[in-house]
Amino acid sequence: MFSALPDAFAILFTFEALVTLFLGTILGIILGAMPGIGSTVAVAMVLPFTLGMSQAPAVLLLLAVYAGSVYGGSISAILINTPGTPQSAATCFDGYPMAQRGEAGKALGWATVSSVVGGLVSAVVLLIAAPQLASLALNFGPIETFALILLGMTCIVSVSSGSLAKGLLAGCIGIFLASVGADPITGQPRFTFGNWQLISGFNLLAVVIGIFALSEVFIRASKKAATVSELAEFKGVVLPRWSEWAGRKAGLAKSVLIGNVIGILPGTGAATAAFISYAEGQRSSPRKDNFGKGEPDGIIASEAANNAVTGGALVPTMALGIPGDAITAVMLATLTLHGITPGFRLMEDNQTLIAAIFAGFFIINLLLLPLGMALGRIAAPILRMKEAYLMTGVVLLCAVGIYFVRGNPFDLMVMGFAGVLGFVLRRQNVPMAPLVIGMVLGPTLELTLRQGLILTRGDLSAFATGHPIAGGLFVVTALALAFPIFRAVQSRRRRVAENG
Amino acid sequence: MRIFLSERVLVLLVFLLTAAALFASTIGAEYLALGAVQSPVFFPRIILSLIIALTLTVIVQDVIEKRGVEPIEKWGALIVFVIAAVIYANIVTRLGFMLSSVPFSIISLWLFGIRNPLIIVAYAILVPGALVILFNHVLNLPLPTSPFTYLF
Repeated sequence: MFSALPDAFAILFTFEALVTLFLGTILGIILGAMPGIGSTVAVAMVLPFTLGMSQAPAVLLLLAVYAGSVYGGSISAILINTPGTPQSAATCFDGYPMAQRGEAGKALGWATVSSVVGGLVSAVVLLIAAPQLASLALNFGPIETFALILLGMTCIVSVSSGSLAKGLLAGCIGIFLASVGADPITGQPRFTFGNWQLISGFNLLAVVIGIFALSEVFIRASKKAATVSELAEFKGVVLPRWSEWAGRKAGLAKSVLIGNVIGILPGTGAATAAFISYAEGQRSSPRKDNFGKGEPDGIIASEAANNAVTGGALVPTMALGIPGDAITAVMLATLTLHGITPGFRLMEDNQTLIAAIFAGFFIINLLLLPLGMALGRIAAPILRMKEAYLMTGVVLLCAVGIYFVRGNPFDLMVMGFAGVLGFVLRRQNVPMAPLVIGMVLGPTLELTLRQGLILTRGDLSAFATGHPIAGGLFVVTALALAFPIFRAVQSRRRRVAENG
Repeated sequence: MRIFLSERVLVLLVFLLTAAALFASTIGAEYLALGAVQSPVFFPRIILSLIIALTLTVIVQDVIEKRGVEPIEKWGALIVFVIAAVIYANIVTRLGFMLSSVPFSIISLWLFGIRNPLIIVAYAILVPGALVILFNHVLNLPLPTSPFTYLF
């Protein structure tokens, strides 16, 4: 691969390719920041424009929009508690509380640097280890994926501030909402009660935007109007100082690793990576008690992982011809349209083109830093407007975004009712994050559990005994669940001892 | 007696009854006899059982700890806004984005305290209009149009 780099740079450093990288990244950030548009829609939107382009710029345009949109989702997640993309939902947990206490610029700074580092490392990993990582991904069957998702589910415990029972309840509601519709194995409709629109289930983004953004607007409508938005302090992106990274670099490295590994597993995606990384960050951070209250470690965990997925997700797409999610499926279609056949032979037969694409992906991630800072500065005056204008605009943008997901009027109704549900649950102090985690991870959890049980003829114990990777992940899950209980018992004993 | 009828307990009871009814609906449902694991309701039954158990736990917790909820400062504005938002979400594809967004924006701005009619009307026309121009005519991603014209 490295021997092809000089020829690859010759392809890359042309006027057409560089302009494509620059404009594609800007467009990706803007589209990603718009609630509901999402990476898939953003990539699909630019697909027709690539038809008149040559191979390398066409793929680079899609990659720029993809990486830009994943980062852009964090802007609206932090500033208005509305994740632009599902993979930015975990960023809301700590980004928005930071924005509420006047540190929006800093929150965006943490998100920008973490996204850039996550993306850059994933580009290097893609360049160096694509074939090796592809073979690792092949070792993950349904049982290993089930164990991985179960580990991700443990983050419900860590984000359930206040009451664990309420957090678990919200998580179960999320899993149940995700199970409505056609059964993933038999295709039979479940809980649709004769309504054909429910057969495809509740759209994740409609529910996420409803319970986060719309319920927030309802809450503000129920209070005495604030003259100016609470984000009045935001003046632009503030990058974290080097000294502020002390004690955070290991967490960043771990999140990048999680993002890369999960990225190469087909069918998991950036949202799953962000939540698993958030759970791991919460478990291992020395500031774990501040998670959910505006802790930069939470933003680092989410943003580094979701951007690290971008490179990892391209590994099975390029090396095996297996798209990991909807976005890489669109990419796969583009590659095919341009006469590139992904698969084992691609790396051998098109080394120069692949090296150009991978190196271009590295440059895209470098561009995220200056472009993210510049576009964040432009967002500042918009978000400094009166609450009335901002909240009305949020509802209009939510409607636009949800309509674009599938063009389905039913999704708009789902968003409206999810807003009411979110408002009611938030009044009862039920945390919203577990509900989203349940909806994101629930379908894979169910599918892999049932596939695993079919493979082992209903023997659940064989999940651990016959599959060493899964067994190891189960042990980590058990430790992750036991550790908070152990800590609680210890602190209780300490309190009893102090009180005499 | 009052604590048993608090907003928290009532909301949780609604969840409990809904989960119980959904669980009951799986018992009589006709699914292909494919065995337990292949059954479409195998996994949802586990989840619904957990929802029922957890809701009961939370009800007991709330009753024991006598937790209340934060009072709502503007009931009237909230009810009107929720109704307007739900109606807006339902009519946006029928009346088109522009025609449904204009009245919604007027109601929303009024409820959030804007009283200058010129600003309200200008915002209600310009913001949805800008979105229509951007998506329908620049990006070629058409928003729902009205039954009267393809332009908005």
